[in-house]
Amino acid sequence: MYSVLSDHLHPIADTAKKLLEERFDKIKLVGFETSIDKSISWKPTILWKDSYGFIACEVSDRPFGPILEIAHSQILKHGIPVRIFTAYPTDNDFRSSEITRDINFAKSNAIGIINVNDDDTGDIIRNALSVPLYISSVDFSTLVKKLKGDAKGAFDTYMGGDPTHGVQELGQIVENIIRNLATDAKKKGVLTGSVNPDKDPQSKIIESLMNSNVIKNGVLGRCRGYAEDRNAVSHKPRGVKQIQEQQKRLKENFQMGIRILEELPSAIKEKGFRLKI
Amino acid sequence: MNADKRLKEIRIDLIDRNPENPRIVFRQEEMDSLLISIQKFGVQVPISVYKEGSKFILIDGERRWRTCQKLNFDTIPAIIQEKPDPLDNLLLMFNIHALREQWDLFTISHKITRIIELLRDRLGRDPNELELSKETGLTRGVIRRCNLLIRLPERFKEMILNELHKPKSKQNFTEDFFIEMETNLKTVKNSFPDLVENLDDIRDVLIKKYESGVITNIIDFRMLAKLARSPKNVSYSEDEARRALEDIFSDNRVDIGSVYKSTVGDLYDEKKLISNFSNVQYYIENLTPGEIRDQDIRSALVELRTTIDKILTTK
Repeated sequence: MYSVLSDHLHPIADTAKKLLEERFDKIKLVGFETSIDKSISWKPTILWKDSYGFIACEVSDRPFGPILEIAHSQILKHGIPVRIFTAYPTDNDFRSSEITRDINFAKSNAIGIINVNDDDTGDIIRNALSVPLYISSVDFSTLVKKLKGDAKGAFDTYMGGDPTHGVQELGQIVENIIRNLATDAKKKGVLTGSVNPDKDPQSKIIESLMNSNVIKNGVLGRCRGYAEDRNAVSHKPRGVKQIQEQQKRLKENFQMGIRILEELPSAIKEKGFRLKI
Repeated sequence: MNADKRLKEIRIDLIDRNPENPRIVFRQEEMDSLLISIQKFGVQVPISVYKEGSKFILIDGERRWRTCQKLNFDTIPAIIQEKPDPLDNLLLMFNIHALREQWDLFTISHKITRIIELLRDRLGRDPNELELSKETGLTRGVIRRCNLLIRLPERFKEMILNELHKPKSKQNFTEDFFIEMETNLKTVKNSFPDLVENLDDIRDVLIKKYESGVITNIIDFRMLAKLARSPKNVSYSEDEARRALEDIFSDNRVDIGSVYKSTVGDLYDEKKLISNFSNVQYYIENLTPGEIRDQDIRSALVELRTTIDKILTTK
């Protein structure tokens, strides 16, 4: 089965395989130590496929070695949808500071982490993000204090292997701001027309805010596009091309969500409203 | 160059590892360094293979081959050699590595038994140490050390194997630990055969003591040999020496150093001093006329005489 993996790591690979196949019930095994693509200088220990792309697991004595660094940067460059997991024995001989450093590297590269104990039990302690969705960093310093915590939370959800929910969390913040703005604008008589800020769809509220010129239409236009796109990416993709397109949009949506959160507060303040979330 | 001994780019998937390769441990740190180097500079040294049907079998370069597979290379530069017979196959690997890099002793020990078997078939008798050394390219000292490891019970061999997976700096029960322990227990066995009848129990006690820090240095095992030879070497009582060894071999917190010090330590120190004095006396007696005339030597001798006189006149 394995020709590269050291003998002592075979049980670790077996446990990781079991855990991942339990977690993702509809994945199909592609092979062991097999190539993802000719352009990628990496043969992961185990490779699967599902409707969202590849799932690759690298088994090693440590959580983050040079092969994962190489693999991650090349996969990112080529935009191949791969979720990378790293599985390592918790009973290893590296210093705990080295393991912590490795885990931090794995986390910052949005790589999933699997701990395997010496009794062949284990846990997926972190989910993997499909590599093309990877965002190297977000500058939270450009956000107002009130939004920083929630935006950071959304980024953690996104990078922790749940990008759809990460985008949704950002979307929820934006939606709350829009609905509260509409309520305040209505109270002040700035927002005209028959719109219910609590019950109407967000798109209708944004439309009314734009028609009444409550705040700058540019930022509201981005909010509208953002709300529409959030729904568009929730369908199950068919084929690699669709996966790539969908992941590209999902990533752009997250970045757009952050941009909106940067712009909305000043646009609201400019017109004498208070930012409410 | 022989027609069958040529350099070619060979498809990686056509290569199989050599089942006779003595190397069984591939440490992560070493593999990672090689991976970075190959990714950056490619394979600088070709691997060696021989042809077996439609496949190639590795003679040398398993780490490079593994790394290239991991890096998803299609081909690897290889020197194709003639298919060796089983003994030459093994000896070739030994010689390549003896010249180029340090294998773990355990790795060597693991395969040396096989070499002895194959040499026995070829020679019609057991090879001696010198023949083994000549054929494998290993020194006789290394072969002797390997023999100590080969004779260890399986569970201790497993212990070494587990340690070998660790980076060198983090290995605790190293090959050296077992070699030191075994060499000195062998001496104890020669002097007091009945004392080490349950050799495995003694090994367990010593391992436990090392693990718990009662024994802190593997060279402390050398004091076991000194204790065992003390009746002969420093005229120490045989019963006392036996009792001291029994004390060390018991499951307790008694360390080798303190037992040694409280029993034969002074006697050995005395022996060492007397031996050093004898050496000095020998050098003095054998001074050449030219050396005797040398002013520096004469001053040193006067100083020595003064010191000796001073010591001998003091009550």
